[in-house]
Amino acid sequence: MQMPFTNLTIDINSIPAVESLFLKPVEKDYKKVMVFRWALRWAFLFVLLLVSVSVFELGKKYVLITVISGVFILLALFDLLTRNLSHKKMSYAVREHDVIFRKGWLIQTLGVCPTKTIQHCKISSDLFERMYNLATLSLYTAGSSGADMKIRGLNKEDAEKVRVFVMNKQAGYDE
Amino acid sequence: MWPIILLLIFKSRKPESRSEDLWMLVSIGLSLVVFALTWISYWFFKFNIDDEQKLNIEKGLIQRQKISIPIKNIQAIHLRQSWLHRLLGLTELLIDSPGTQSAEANISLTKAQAIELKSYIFDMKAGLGSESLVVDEDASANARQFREDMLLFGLEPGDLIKLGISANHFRAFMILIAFAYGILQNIRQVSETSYTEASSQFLDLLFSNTMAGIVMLSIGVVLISILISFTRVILRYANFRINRRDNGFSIKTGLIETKEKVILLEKIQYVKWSANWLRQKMALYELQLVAIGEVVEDDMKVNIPITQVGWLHSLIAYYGISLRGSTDALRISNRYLAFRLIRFVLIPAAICIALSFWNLNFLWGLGLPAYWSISAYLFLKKAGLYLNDEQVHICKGNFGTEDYLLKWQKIQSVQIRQNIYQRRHHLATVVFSTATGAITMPFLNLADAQRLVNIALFKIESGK
Repeated sequence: MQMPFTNLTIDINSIPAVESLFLKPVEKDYKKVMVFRWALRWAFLFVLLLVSVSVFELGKKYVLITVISGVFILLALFDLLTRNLSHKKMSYAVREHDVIFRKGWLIQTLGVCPTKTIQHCKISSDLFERMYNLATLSLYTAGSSGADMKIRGLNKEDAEKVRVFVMNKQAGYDE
Repeated sequence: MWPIILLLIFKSRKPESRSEDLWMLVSIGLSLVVFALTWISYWFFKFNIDDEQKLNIEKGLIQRQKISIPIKNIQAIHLRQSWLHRLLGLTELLIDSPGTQSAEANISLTKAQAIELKSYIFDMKAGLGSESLVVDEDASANARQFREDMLLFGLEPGDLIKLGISANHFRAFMILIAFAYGILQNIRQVSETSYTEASSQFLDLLFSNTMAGIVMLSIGVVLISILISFTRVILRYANFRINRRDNGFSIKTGLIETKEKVILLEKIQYVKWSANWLRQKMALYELQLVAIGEVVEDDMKVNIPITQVGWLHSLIAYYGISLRGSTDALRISNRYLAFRLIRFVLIPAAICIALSFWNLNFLWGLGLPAYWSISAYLFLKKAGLYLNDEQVHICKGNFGTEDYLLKWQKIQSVQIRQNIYQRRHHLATVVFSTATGAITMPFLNLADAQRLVNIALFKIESGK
């Protein structure tokens, strides 16, 4: 039987609000992964700095070396602080019709991806993530060249559960 | 061939120059290498459509590439002909599928072969029952007659003159500067002597004839800039016409390089129209029907020039309705101006003033912060957001105007972004991501931003 057509006015206040949601923090171990990545990045930059000092023969320009080292250390510490603070902000929620992820400290982003628009999703984990049984869940919608949402710092089981949930929802829309 | 031509033009007048002989050899060698590489890429380029309804392409000798595109995933097929293609009777067939920002396949064929392959893919896709395809029109007589019958509007010579006068001459000026710089660098590569001569002649012209010379030079540059932008408009929009089809629009434009494009209504994600300061005064606009499956290469994008406001409203009506002025707009916060002033005006101005103690010429740099502050003020005045049950209309612009019309159902995901300044003042930037790019609205009140996101999610998820 055909459903009767209705076009009722929607009370704006009755629409579910994203801001009042409780978001689940990502795994604590992810902070260690972030520190590993930080160490790797700055070790690489340190080697680059040493090579530059050698190539441009700056070894005896002590004032310049001191200034560059100071800036280098300050930037590295600021990066570490930013990562630490952004880890505290990283949290997510899965609702009936969408997936929500909050990230960032300097620029805080709250992204919402409706399951209806998700085309496919991917779970990946690099070496550091594998050490702590963590994974990154990437959600892709139509037309974008990269993932619309990357939820980092999930444990592998949770990531798989979210992936299966999203794909089941997707299959439901297709039917 | 251009290295050899340049070398011949700017060859030193000295009878014997060993360095130029060397450059000649290098130029010929380079040309031969390019020719050989082109020939190899032609020889190793192969394509077929297999029994599993996939278009397979193999190309390259050193870096072998195998591309396989299921026919059902192909979103768009475009035909492109540059003047060189037309001279040689060839056509480029560009095939586009979702999830990438450029065409996956680019096949050069004779025009007849390209049309045949396009029709073959079109029929195969129709047989698979997948969603409709964006294809360019045939150049056949029947198709032409069909387009004549359904003509929505075309441009008259008077329209072209209006568009030419109101074009962005500053952009043309920058192109002129870049072109002149490029030529000088090419001359330098080929002959250092000619480069030095050209530079010294220019500097003599600039400084030896005092004020009159500078004024004459400035007028000359301005006139050439206007001529360039005028020529660009003529080349781009001569013979422009847009036709209504049963499922969308077909557009044909261009004087020497003709572009043909088909836009399907169901594929349009959002509509954008904009005007610079002068065009806004003359009620001239450029409209974009931003559709999925468009090849994102700049030279394949077609803006629709609007010289009558009626055309603008009739074209927009196929997608939605302009909401500008229909209700109270959601305005951005005045703090936007304060933020922009701190970030882009005060700090650069302080740097310029500090540097001016070293060299007074740095005071000229203050012009840029002044421009930015006026631009930010105008943006604050113009930015607004209107919404109704079906769509959201975002107005932006500083000296000119920019309007975006977006249906709720075309939104793929939403974001609320806050920097530290915005968090302190309970403000936020809202980002609507669509299948063809994102539209942002900065510095809304946080409560308004949250409400907007909640409405968008409700509309997408409930389908209402």
